[in-house]
Amino acid sequence: MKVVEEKNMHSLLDIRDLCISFERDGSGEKYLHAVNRISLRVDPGEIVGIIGQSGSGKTTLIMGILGLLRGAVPGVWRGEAFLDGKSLLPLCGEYAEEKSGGKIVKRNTPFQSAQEKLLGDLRGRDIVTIFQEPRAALDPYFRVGEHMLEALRRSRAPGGETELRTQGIELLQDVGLVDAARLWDLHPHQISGGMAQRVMIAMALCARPKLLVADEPSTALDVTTQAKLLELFRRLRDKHGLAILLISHDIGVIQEISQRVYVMRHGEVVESGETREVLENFQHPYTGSLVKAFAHFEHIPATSIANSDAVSLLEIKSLRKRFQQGDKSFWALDDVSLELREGETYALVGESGSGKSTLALSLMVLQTVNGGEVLYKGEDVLKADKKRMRALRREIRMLFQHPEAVLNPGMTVGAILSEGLEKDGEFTRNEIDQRISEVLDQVHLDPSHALRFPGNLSTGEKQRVTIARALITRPKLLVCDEPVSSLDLAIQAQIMELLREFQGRLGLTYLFISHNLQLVKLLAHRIGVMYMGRLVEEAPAGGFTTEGARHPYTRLLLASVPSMGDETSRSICAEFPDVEPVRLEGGCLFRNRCPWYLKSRNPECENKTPPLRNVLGGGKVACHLAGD
Amino acid sequence: MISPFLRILGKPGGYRMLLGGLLVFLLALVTITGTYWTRFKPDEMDFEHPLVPPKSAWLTRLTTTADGRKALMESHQNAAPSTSSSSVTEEGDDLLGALKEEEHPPTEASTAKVEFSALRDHGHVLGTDKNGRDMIALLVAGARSCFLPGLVACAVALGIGVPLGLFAGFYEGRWRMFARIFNGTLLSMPRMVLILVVICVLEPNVYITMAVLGATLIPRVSELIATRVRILSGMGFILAAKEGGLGDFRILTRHLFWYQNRAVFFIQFSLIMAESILTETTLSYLQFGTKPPDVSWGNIIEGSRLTFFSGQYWITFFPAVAIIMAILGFFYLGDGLNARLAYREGR
Ligand SMILES: Nc1ncnc2c1ncn2[C@@H]1O[C@H](COP(=O)(O)OP(=O)(O)O)[C@@H](O)[C@H]1O
Ligand code: SF4
Ligand SMILES: [Mg+2]
Repeated sequence: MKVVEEKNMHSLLDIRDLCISFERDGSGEKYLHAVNRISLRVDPGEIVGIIGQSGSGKTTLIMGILGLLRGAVPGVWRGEAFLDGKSLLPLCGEYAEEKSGGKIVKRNTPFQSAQEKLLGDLRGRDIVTIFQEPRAALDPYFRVGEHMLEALRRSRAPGGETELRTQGIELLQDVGLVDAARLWDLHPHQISGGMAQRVMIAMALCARPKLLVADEPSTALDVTTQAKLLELFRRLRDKHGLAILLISHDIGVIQEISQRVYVMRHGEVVESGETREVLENFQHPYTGSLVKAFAHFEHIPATSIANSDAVSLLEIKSLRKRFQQGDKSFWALDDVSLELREGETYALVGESGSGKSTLALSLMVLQTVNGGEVLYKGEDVLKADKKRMRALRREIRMLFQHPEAVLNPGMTVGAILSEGLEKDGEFTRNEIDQRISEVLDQVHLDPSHALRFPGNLSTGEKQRVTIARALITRPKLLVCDEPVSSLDLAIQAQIMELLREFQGRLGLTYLFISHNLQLVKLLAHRIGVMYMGRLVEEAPAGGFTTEGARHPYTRLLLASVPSMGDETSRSICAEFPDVEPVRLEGGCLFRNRCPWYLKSRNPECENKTPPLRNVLGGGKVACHLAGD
Repeated sequence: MISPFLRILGKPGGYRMLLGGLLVFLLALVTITGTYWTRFKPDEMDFEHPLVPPKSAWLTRLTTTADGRKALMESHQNAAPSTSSSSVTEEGDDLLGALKEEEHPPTEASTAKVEFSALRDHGHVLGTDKNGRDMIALLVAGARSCFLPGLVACAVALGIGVPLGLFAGFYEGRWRMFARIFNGTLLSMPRMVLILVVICVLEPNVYITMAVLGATLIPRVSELIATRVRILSGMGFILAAKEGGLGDFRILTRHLFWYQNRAVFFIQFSLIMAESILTETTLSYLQFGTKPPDVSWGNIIEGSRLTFFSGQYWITFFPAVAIIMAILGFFYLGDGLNARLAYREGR
């Protein structure tokens, strides 16, 4: 007992038995218990993770202890929270439990201005927060520098404008923004999401905080940017002794960086302890479902269709697409050629903006292109007339990333499904109804779902409906553009399972687009890597490892995937300079990030576009210096 | 039976929607069924009973002051001889009887009694106008003549505005350019002036006038629809519909119009109806709209201009109430629908 108390005395943030609820219907009878009796502790200089699905109460917990839920009824109503020994909680909620009845009633002690001031002081000084959408948190009318100055002034840093500026630039450089002096004069919309996140962190550091709370800081970022951010967190902890409370739904992130972890579910902590310990010897089945969401996938060996005698189904030849953005224009697709064989899954990976979706929309003829051919069974889809196109649209279908955006909210599921068949009057009502119940059954939905509106389906169910919508025309080829990226982990696994099942049963061919490299490896036979509109490497799934990869960009991508304290990955990441991707002109587009080029300054890389050439092991690579 | 109404009441804009809907429903009912249950025809002139007040005494008492009642009686005494001189004298026992009774100056209390009992059986529940036309028949005929021109205005405004908006929003490019020029031209012409010019140049026909009114509302409708369609076109389900092989026509009619913009359509329908009733009555009052012998609420009021201050309030009062109810009805309906839509889209 004594030991425990002593330990708590040292902890920086100490939350005990915290409850946060929201009134359901205004009657004061029904409550939604968003956070239910949570105890949590963060020690100085420690990185602590909270993991849980969306809606499990992670953000509510943080908002609660920061006093941001004060308007809520009843909000924070039970428990204690200490920051560095100072109690936070009297400042957080106006409600408390009645002594006798256990009913939640309004406290009669109102807030005092002194307390408010105290809370205001703590918030933003001792304890700082960064959120998921960094750019939303920066005022678009103020330059980066003005944000920094404001933050410095608020933390009562001494000195005039010039001194503050020097300090600010130092801080920006500290968080890895080497080019801080140039950034100083830019507006938030002119910088990338990753940079904005770092600006947020630099602003937070102005006050020399003791605790940094990061709520899903990397969810909106690419893996490569995420890896850099996590590295930064690690450095801040080591250098400044900053404690970090990291909230995430991504088990990889938590695994990579946190020392201790709390697993949250439905507002409760179901398991906690040393990260390694918890994730390896989990006790609660929910933790198991997080750790093992994709475990059973690995046991099914991906049947190799990589043998080249399989018939080619889709061939893309020199596809080009130019976009105008403001007064600049650039190639979103630059001479992309690839081939899909019947029954295989070809995965396309790359950072956001690399042109994956553009490729999908172009080959679906949902967008015009500036050149190239898309041959489906030898026939150029881009040149098909209206009638032929309608037939082709039955055979080539597409899944989109956001199922809720795809389903017209005013139509029933049945209407959505039958639409693709009704249009030509080729099928009778009976046949259509039969097919509807057939596809609903295939995607494991109840036939009664046909009468429901998308609005009252869960996200997973919605994505099943979009799959059913594609399957109803009995397609041969399915183009999946990030089909599971907006879903929770457990549902991702179910949908992936479903996709695999169809491939086996219906012999579908997939073009599977994703930025999630782990996911891709579960399903794909071959993998193509895109960078800035170009295909830079193509490899059979087996060769898609940090050792097997030929192109430096592929190596970077693979090494950036969070994994538990993998030293080799971290050292590979460290080889790459910490710069933003920019669209270069001519030569190899990757050269500003390429360690080989930066070392050798190979003139070929500057002048000549590296052609995609065959290498040993059945892959292809577009790099002047990569070996065969 | 009741519960769906109660549910609507609970929703944002529910009261307005229900009240407006009720008024519009009544108006439509009267328009459609009116000819079956009215006792008189609107062009039937009861020469024996011109300017008789509403039948029920309390209605008269309720709406006129003591002075007014006196004036009413006097006017009646004045009007009666003039009518009897102009109409055939040997008919109308009732009226003669009444006049006879009035020859003996009665007490104040008995006057009203005598007056109303005398007129009890003429059958004009809401009284008659100066030509002896039945007010109820006139009001019913007026309802028709505000509904039909309103529908003409809606047909023009929505029939052209909606497709124009859909095309301009969906295809951008040339259609958008065309819509911009077309709408700009229409918007640059003041509505009333345009209507008056058309009336002067063409024959003054209320349907033509309403068509012109509808035309002046095209810009509003088409811009509204085009803006919405432009936003919707970028959304996933339009892309998905194209992916599913749907032709442009089906995407426009089904997804963009029926599933996404039909509420806007009904809202605009209600608002344009309200506006066109207002315009129609105004024009008729100014004698540019419906011309007698055709009846409209506006020209009933116009016809009562001279009698209003001499105490024959009812000829002005009832059409005015009808106009207000009709306009309020459509306006509330549109406004309630709008609030409901805003709420649904806000979620
Ligand atoms: N309609 C468009 N107009 C202008 N630029 C676009 C348009 N669509 C995509 N882009 C740009 O093209 C590039 C490739 O985008 P995209 O294909 O969506 O990448 P990915 O799917 O790999 O994230 C990005 O820089 C993006 O901003
Ligand atoms: S071509 Fe040159 S710059 Fe490009 S990846 Fe290869 S080595 Fe690097
Ligand atoms: Mg994309």
